[in-house]
Parts: sequence; structure tokens; C-alpha cells
Amino acid sequence: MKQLPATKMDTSLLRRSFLKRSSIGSAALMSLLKDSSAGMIKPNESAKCKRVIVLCMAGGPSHLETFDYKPKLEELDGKPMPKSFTEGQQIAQLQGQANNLKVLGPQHQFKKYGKSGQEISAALPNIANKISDDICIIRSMQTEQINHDPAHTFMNTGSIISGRPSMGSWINYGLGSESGNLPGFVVLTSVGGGQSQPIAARQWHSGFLPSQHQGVRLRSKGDPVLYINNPKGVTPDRQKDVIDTIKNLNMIGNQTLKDPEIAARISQYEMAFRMQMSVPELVDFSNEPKHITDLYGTKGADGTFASNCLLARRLAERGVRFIQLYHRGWDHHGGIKKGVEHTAKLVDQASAALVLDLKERGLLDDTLVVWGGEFGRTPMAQGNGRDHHIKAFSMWMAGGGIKPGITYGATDELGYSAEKDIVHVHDFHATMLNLLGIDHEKFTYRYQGRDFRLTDVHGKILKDIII
Amino acid sequence: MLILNSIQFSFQKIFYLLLITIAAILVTESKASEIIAFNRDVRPILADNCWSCHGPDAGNRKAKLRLDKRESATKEVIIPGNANESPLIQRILSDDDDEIMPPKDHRKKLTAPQKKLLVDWINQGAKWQDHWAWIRPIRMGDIPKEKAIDWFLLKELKKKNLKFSELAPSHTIIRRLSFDLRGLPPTTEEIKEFQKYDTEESIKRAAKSFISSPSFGERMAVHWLDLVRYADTNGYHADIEWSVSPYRDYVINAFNKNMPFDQFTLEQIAGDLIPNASTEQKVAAGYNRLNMKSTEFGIQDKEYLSKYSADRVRTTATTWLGATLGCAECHDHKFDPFSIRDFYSFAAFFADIKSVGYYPDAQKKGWGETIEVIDQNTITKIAELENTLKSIGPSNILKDSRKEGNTWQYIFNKPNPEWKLPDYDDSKWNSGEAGFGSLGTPNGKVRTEWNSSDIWIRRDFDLKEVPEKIFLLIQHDEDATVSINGNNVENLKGYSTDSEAYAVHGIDTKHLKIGKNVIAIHCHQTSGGQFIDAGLSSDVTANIEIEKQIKELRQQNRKMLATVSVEPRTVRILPRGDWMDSTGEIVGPAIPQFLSKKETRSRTDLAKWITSKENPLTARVFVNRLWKIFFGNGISRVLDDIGSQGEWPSHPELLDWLAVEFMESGWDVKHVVNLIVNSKAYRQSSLRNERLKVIDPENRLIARQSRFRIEAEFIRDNALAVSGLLVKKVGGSSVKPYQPGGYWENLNFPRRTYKADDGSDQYRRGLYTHWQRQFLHPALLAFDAPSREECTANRPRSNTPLAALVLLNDPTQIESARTMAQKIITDPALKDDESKISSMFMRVLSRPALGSEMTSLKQLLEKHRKEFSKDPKSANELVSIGQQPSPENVDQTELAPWVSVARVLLNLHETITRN
Repeated sequence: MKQLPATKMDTSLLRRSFLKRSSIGSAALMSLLKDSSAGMIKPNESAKCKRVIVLCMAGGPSHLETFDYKPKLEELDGKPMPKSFTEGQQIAQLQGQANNLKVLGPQHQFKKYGKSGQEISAALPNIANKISDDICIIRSMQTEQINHDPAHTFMNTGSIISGRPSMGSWINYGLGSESGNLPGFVVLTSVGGGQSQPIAARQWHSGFLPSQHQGVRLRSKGDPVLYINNPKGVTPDRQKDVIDTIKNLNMIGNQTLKDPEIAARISQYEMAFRMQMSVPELVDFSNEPKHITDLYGTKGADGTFASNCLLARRLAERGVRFIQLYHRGWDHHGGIKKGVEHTAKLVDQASAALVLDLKERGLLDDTLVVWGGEFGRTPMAQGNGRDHHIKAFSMWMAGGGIKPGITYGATDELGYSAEKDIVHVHDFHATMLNLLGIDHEKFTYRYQGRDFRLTDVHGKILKDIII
Repeated sequence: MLILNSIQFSFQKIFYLLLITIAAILVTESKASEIIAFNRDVRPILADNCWSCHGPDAGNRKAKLRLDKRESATKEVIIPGNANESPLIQRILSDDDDEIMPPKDHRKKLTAPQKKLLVDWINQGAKWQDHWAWIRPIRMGDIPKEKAIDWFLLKELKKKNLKFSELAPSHTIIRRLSFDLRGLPPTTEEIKEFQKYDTEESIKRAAKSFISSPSFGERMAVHWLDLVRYADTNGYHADIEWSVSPYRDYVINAFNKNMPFDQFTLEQIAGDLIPNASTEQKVAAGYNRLNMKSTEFGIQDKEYLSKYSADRVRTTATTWLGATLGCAECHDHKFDPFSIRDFYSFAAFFADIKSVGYYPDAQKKGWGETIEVIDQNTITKIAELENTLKSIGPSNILKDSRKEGNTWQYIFNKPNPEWKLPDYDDSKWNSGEAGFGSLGTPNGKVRTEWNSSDIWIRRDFDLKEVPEKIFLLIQHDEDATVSINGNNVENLKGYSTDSEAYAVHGIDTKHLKIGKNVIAIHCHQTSGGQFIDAGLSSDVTANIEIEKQIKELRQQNRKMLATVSVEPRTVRILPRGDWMDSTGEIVGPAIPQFLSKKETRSRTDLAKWITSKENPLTARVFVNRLWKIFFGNGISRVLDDIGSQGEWPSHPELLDWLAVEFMESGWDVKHVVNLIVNSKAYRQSSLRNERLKVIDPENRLIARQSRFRIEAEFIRDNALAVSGLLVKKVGGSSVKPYQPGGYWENLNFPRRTYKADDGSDQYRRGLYTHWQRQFLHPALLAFDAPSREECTANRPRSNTPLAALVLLNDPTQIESARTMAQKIITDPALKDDESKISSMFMRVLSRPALGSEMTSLKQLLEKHRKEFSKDPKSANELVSIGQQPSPENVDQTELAPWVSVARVLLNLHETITRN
């Protein structure tokens, strides 16, 4: 880390003075605070990274217009889709036209980029030109759910049943938080470029894990974190007076009770106050130099994907364990040529900027960046767009112990089905946990009489893409 | 700081060493003297470590070895009485990597004490027991009902040389009773009342009063609604609103009228199949429609039908059986004897429910069958109003025929012109009851058919005196000419549409006389339906008001998703749970085979079996969950799995006693609740001494009461109650409290904005909050209310900064603080700061403030008083939060510092804790 972010100092000072004001039990509190943020397990020797940033391209980006070039598809453009591919397979919105499926050729040009010569679509010029040597493209992803809502649920929780913990919650439960004044799992959303499919809060819910591990949304409008702003007429000082008095009274109560829950309550109020103090600074970009805001293509924390990417870096610097960005705009059932172009324009520059910026700051080595959607899209045309598709899609990962500049796995000649080195969602989870130093088979939580895992009873670690 | 820390650390270390030593002594003491009990000691080890490969799941069984049945285990690897020769022991003690069990690469490892226990157990003869929960509960001993709970608890306590803790202070007991039974704090008056009698008597009285208050049902409903995953939106994708709130009210009412639990079960699972089912029973059957549904374009109907079907199995099995039957969707259960066939046979009970997988355009077209419901409250209210209307006389001079038909003379052919005169002879006319009209005329209550274009009606009425005013009440379709005593009084054109509130027309009293009068009406219609009825009244101002109210109430009918039984869908076993695989065998409805082989065909049969004596699970599951409300944890802490992987109950005999008592009392919920809250165990202090901290840190033995945070809904209720804002209306459509702006921005199809309710609906209890599955109200979410996408039996109790932020900054909390502060400072009886703080403290915490607490609060008050006096703008901003108009006759700079004091009190740990 090149520079210690100013906030860390500020808030620790602040916290010290905050604690000083109360006369009793500071030491007990400090140790308790430490305990409450500690994780359940120590990372093992396979640990290569400490945190994860997921850039979720919600809606299902077409692999065929982004990272998986299929010349054969071009050849067959407009011709009937060979039945051998589609027979007996699940389809979504094309259900009505199952007997009249036509091939749609790639709508964007592909070229080879960088020293590694990775093949990337011209729709993503920044990713292609600036970070192709930093990323590992996976072309052989598969999932189990063909509709948005359950597909996101599956991608986040490894299950199609609601109420299971999301990956960010699992990881925070396992490793604990490194930030003393921010939640360990932060979610940001943006829209634009295509049909913006809804995203449920289930996607960052902690399910049956303790609720402090749920994702907390950082918002661009209204309170940046729900209820973070003081009531009108209450200055930060007055708020602190109130919190101090709450603490005093709680401590008086605890003199006879010695109830750890009260001690925990006191520490949570302190954490809440620290969040109140640190969040405004977090979302204030005024101390970012112009070349950085230009790199991302943002002016301020305005809720765009670009500003969310810059926020992601700021969160990573502050020790947030799991940062998840959703960009809701990749559902291109029609007009996919223009659609991909539009959406890509909103995410391409900032995605590349994030990787470059992390790298520049030495943070990329221990930060895993993941880019991808909940599923891919059909080689078959839906008008001039593509339908949902689960047998093949692409993702990329960078940093955090991932081999840079490689492509892993392959689909068949039409990009219909992953056939070489197939990567299932469970395998992605297993690999991510492995990079964090967590054995996905031993990392369990007992619920309803069963030891649950993020990877259910599956998951293989993709050793070939790990440094 | 460093020094302090290390001192603390070593202190901690000593403490833990001490703890471990004491615990060790205890363990040796208790274990050496006791025979190993299979269910308590051995079963958990086998289940957890062995059964995933050597258990009930035939598909995954290794080496064809089963260790979940004594027969097979003793045949193969256990020699009872001889551990050394038993291959099982040889394998678990082996130091050969290829031999050792569980295998070296397996996640599970046996600990040394576990190994020793298995050795001892086999040496003691390897006695086996069926899993406790699969055996029907029986009542141990013949103990008087009122003493049974204490008797069982004390029996265990004696073994450890413990006894119950002392009696809790009375303010604690009343608070405990109030939160447990109503989810609300006690009022100051209730606390005073409680202190009038001895504890025993006071508890009896308070319990009786709380259990019979409508809040009891609201309180009990919260957990039930979690189980049945009741919510106001469809859950998947667009997450749009639907109407199911009548079901919520059904649950509240059922608990309030103490509906026997077997009836409650039958009505929910199969209420629609009850012959001549009442509306209420049909609403109850809406239970079957509460599952998440999807309207996402492009989904496969069949896939989603199978999702819904599996969801129903999970929910019904968890709610009533405490069973994880849902785990057998893809393969036989790994730990319990549920087969994949059991799963799909159970699903088949619900195959008759009319349902599709994909609900296209549900925003407009809805979610299938619905019924119209007027809730009981409204029905009662309407009946009351109608009675009032009767007594003050709807048309007190001449009754109209809304309630009962009044007889008129009538004719369809044009009579001679004298027909309207008082002494006209109408004896040749027909007589019939009004209203007159064609059947099917919208809204009209037709008692005598009239299908032609014209009708003439007349009748007389007597007057003892001529009233000051007179009004004509009339419904006419279409043109009506009305005359009284031969004088034309009204010429009405067109039709009046409202059958509930008749049109009212004032009439000149000069046409009336004492004695006999005659009213005559000619009605003419041109097309469509026809109708005529009329009455006369001397006073309609009250009537009009009441009729308006009745009309409004009638419009409050709500829709409810209905369960409609149709030809059952074919249910197949889906291998690996794959909905695309249609090779599986077709199955019909059946109870899981190891529980019952009884022939069952319908949901009615299922419901009846569930509450039959044959079923060992339901009564236990229910009373165990009830116990959690009153002691903080279940007798078995795992509320959603009573199977092998659940928890051996701390007091199995007590659990069974309660279960049997529950059944034999006629499934009387209030009876069991009464037994619990009137026990001595219940009224203990919750303070734990050093000894208990060590021996029983989790309070399983109940040598004291428990302290725990109240539920999300009750945290809201508490703030509203102590401030006096709470509107205690029971039932109705869901309501929308304040919510941070933009919280719904990630919802789509359609995009929507949240609009908080105005007026009294803003101050309703938390359980009425609009339950948006994908974005549950954040104040509820922060205190662990579940999204209700899935059946939830156990809410966690977290303690997070997000929860702190809600209590600190949620406008509901601020408005409550302000309203309370305002009450206190305008109370003329409270003269000085100290008495004001005392009063506020009492309201919120049910006890007087300690000296140190008083000092701290006074300091805050003084400081903020100074600050706000210099900053009236801030004071105004703070006291203007919320929809309650900001007070005008109060000095806002004086009110604002009191808001700070009130905020402190609402945020205290003790305030949101029941102890």
C-alpha cells in the first residue's frame, strides 16, 4: 500500500477520544471489539488474497460479443441452428420458437490484444488495450439457472433456494472484517445500457449466518448507508452526546449484569458512530487527483458504474473484505449489437481503470477482481438479440493469485456449450475460497441439522489458473 | 492501553482455566455414574460422523454398511459387549491411514472422548434406541398439571445441586409477561395494578388479562407468519404486491379465540375442502398459496411448478413436523429415514391445488383464483352500525326495504289519474314487498319482480304528529315521480346508483297531516335493469352519516389468493430433483412411510394425520417453539429439525409431558401458555451468578430466567407504545411506515416508489408492515426479521451497527421520542426536571431511574438545553420530524433537549431486552 488512507488515522484518533470520554471499561471494550470482528477461521497456506471485488454484469452479458469469438457462428449467421445442439436442452424466452431457431453471428469484431494475445471484442477497448495481460479469461462457465432472479441467487449462494448465505457473507463470516469503521461486505449498484433487470436484496443477504455478515448497500442517493445520517437538527456533536449517554447508561446497567450482550451493544454503537463519521469521507472524491478520476471517467460519487469502481478501490484500501458492484444493463434480448455497445461503454473504462489503479497501488496482488454476469446468451437469434443461456458463458478474473494474461477453457464451435475445462459456478466458488485461504469442503455452518457449504457438495479448485 | 490489555488477558486466561477445570470435574462426575444413553450420547456421534456414508441414503451408501440401524450395525461391525473385537472400534482407533474411520480425507474426525464413549457403549451392550422424536410422546409420572413444569426442571437441577433463582422484581415480571404475551411494554397503570397483590395472584391476573387481549394474537402470529412465509409480494423477480393480508388476520384471530390447534391445522392445509367452508376457512386455506411465485418472462412453467411444489413440502414439513423432508428432494435423506419417494409423495398431497408455474403479466392479471373477504372486525362494525341505524330509525316514518321488505300496493298498467290521491281505492292492485325490480339489477335488493317499463306503487303511513322535517330516501332506476297525499313532491330523473346509501331528498312538511297519509310513486325505465324502493324519515342527518360509514366499511373488502382444488397434477419422483427428467415413477399422496402406512388421499387426510395421536412430531414441535418465547430457547434448541441432526432436548420428559398435555387438552394453546407463565420457573430472576456462568452458561437447566432482545416488530411497537403513538387497530391491509428514500430503486417491472402511509396507518404495529420479500423494511431487517422467502422457524438475535443506526436515526424512533417528550413536559403534574425524567424512565423501562442514571440524563438535558436555546432552527428541525404536526404551544428549544433524553431511553439495551 503506497499511502495510508487519511481516514484510518482520523477515525482511530476519533475513536480514542470517543473512548476516553467514557470512564469505564475501555480495555474490555477494545478486546471485545477485536473479537467481534474476528473471523471463524484462520486462512490456510493456500491464501493468496485478502479481499474480493466482484463486478457483476447483471442481465447476462453475451459471451459471443465480449470474450468468446466464434468464426463458425459468423458463417452460419441467419441459417437454422443445428438441431444436434439444441435438442432436449432448456431454453427460456425462445420456448415458443423451439422449432425455428436461427443462428446469429457475432455482432462485434474481435482482435488479439497485448503480449498475451487475448482475443477480446472491440466493444471493450479499454479492457482489451489496457488490461488484457492482467486478466484471466474463462470461456467455459456453466450455471444451472436460466432466469435472472434464480441465476443470481445461484451465483451468489450456490443454491437456488432462497435464504442461503451469499458468498460475501460466507467470506466475512470466515475471515472477519479488516475494517474498524466500515462493514466487511459492501454492495453498490448502477444501471444503464439495456433492460435493467431487478436485483433482490437476497443477493447479499447473510441467510442463516449471523446477520452482521450481510452485505450493506452503499447508495448514491439519499443516505449513503441506510439510516447513517443524523436526524435533522442533530449535529455530529449532539449525536455523540446522545451516544455517550446511551453508553453510560448501558454501562451502569452492566455493572451488576456483566452481560456480554450489553458489552457487544456498546461496541456496536461505537461502530455505528464510526461509520457515521467515515462514510461521508469515503464518498467524497475531492482528495482524488484528477488523473485518477479521469482514469475511471467519473466526477463524483454519482451512482454510475465508474464512480462505483472508484469507490470499490477506496473500500478495498480501507480493508473491506468483499465488495460487490452490480451493473444492471446486460439483458439484451433484442438489438444486441447496439445494446452491448451501450452497456460496454458504461463499464469498460472503469473496469480497466480499477485493475490498473489497484495494480498501481500494489493492491492487486491481494485483491481478487471478478468480472461477469449470471449467465450467457444463446448463439441463436431472438430477433436481433439473444436469449438467456446457461451452457456457456465467459468471465474474467484478475489479481489475487490468478495467473495473468491467460485464457482458460473453451466452448464448442458455436459457443453453445462449454466443452473444454468446464467451470461450474461451484468451481468458481471453490477457487475463490481457495485463493482466500479457505478450504471450501471444510468451511461449513450447521443449519437445520445439516452442515452447509457455499459449494454444497460440489466444487473443484481451478489449479491451472492459480499462480 | 497495552498494559491494561495484557492484565486483562491474563485475568481472562485464569478465568478460562478455572472454567475448564470446573467443567471437567462436572463432566467426570456426571458421566462416570451414568449409563450411556444411546439417544443422548451415541446417536449424535454416529449421525454426525458416520451416517452421511453409512446411513439411510441408499444412493450414497459406502461398503453397503448401515450404521443407523442396530440390526445391520451389529450384524456387520459391532459386537455388543465386546468393543475390542468390534470392527467399528478397530477402525476408529486404527493408526493406519487406509483403515481409519472416518477416512483421513473426510471432513469429520472423532475426538478422543467420542472414541472412548463408543468403546464404553459397546462394552455396556451397545443398547440402541429409536430416535426419540420418532417415538410417540408419553406422559411420565402423575404430577399435578400446575406443578409439572417446575417438577421436571427441579429434578434436573437437583442432580447438579442447583435450585431456582430468587423471584424477579415485580416490575421485571410484569414487563416479561407483557412482552412475552403481547409484544408490548406494560403501561404505568398496569405496573401499579400488578404491585397490588402477591406475586402469584398478580401473575395470574396479568396473564389472564394479557392472554385475553387482542395483542396476544398479534404477538403469537409473528412466529407463525415466519413459518408459513407470509408476505405481501410474490418474491421472485419483479416482486410485486398481492393481497393476502386476510390470511394474516385469520392467524391473529385464531390465536385470539384460542382455536384448537388441530382445527387451525385443518383449516390451513385443507380449509377449502371442508364441506360448506366458511369464508374464514377458505382464507385459512390460502396458506397453500403463500409460496413465492414468478412472473418473469421466459421461465418454464414446469420448472416453476416443481419449485413451488418443493417449497410447499419444505414449508409444511418444517412448520408442522419440524422435519427436514426438503433434504430428500434429490436423494434419500442422509440422516433421517425419509426417502426421495416420501418427498414426492408428500408433494402429491398438494397436487390438486390450482396453480401454474408462470404467471404472465401478474401485475394486471393477478395470481390466479381469489376470494373477496370482509374481515370479522368490519362485519361486526357494520352490524353494530346497522343496529344503530335501526334504533334511530332508518326511515323512521316509513321504512325502506333495505333490511326487510315493506309491503306496497303495485300495478304495472297505467291506473286512472286519481291513483295518487289518498282515498283512491287500490285494493284491486297487487301487493308485494319492495324493492321492485328485475332480478339482476345491480345493487338492488329485489323482493318483487318488475320487468316492464313502468310501475305504480302506493301505500299509507300514520303520523301521530307532523315532524319538523321530512326526508325521502329513495333508490330509483330510472325516472321516478313521487307524490304525498296527492301532491307532487319529487320528479327524479335517471337512476340512483347506490344501494347502500339511498338518495335523500328533503320534502316540504306542509303536505303531511296527522293520521293517515299516502305516498305514491310512478317509476319509468327506458333500458337496462329497473328498480324502485323508498322510505320516509324525520331525521336523516345521523342516518346519512352512518350510512356513509357503512358504505365505506363495505368497500374495505380485501382479496385473498384462494386455494381451489382441481384434478391433481401427475407427480413423479424426479431423479436428482431434475424437473426435466420425466422417467421417475408416478406417486400418489402418502405420509412418510416410516411414520405411517395409513392410506391417505387428500390434504384433509394429511391435516388429520398431522394432529392424530399417531404422529409423534407435531405437538412436540409446537410446544418446543412455544417454550422459546418464554425462556429464550427451545427445550431442544434446534426448532426446525427434530430429526437425528437436531438437538437432544435438555428436558426430554418435560417436552413430552407438555406435548401430551397439549394434545389431551384438545390442542389448547392458551392452556399451555398459561401453564408456562404461571410456573415458578418462569418468574425467576434472570441474573446469573458466577456459579451458573460456569456450570450452565447457556441456561439450558433454567436455574434462572433468560435475557434476550425482543423481536424486530416489537422494537417498533415499543417505541410507539411508550410514546402513545401506537394505533391499536387489529388487522386490515398491510401498512407502510416511513422508509428511507430510494430503498426500492433496484426493483423493476414496474419501477415503483415507496409511499409511506398517512394518518393512523403510520402508527400501526410492526407485524402489519408491508412485507416486501426482496426488500423487507430495513428497520425490521436490521433486527433479524426474515424476508419470508422461505419457511423460517428460528430468528437469530443479532447485535449490529446497522441496528444501532435504526434506533438512533429512524424517523419512527425520533417521532416517538418527540411525542413522548412532549407529553412529559406538558404534564402539569410533573414540576421539575427530575420528576419529568423519572416519569419518562418509568414509561420506557417500567422502573425508577437509579441515581447515577438520573445524573447522566440530567447532564445531557442541561447541555442540550443550552445548545438548543442558542439554536432554535435545529430545535425546530428536530421536533418537526414525522407526520405529527410540530407542537405550537410548546417552546421548541425546550422540547428539543427532552427529545435527546427520550432518544437515549429508546436506545438502551434494557429497553429492547426482555429479562
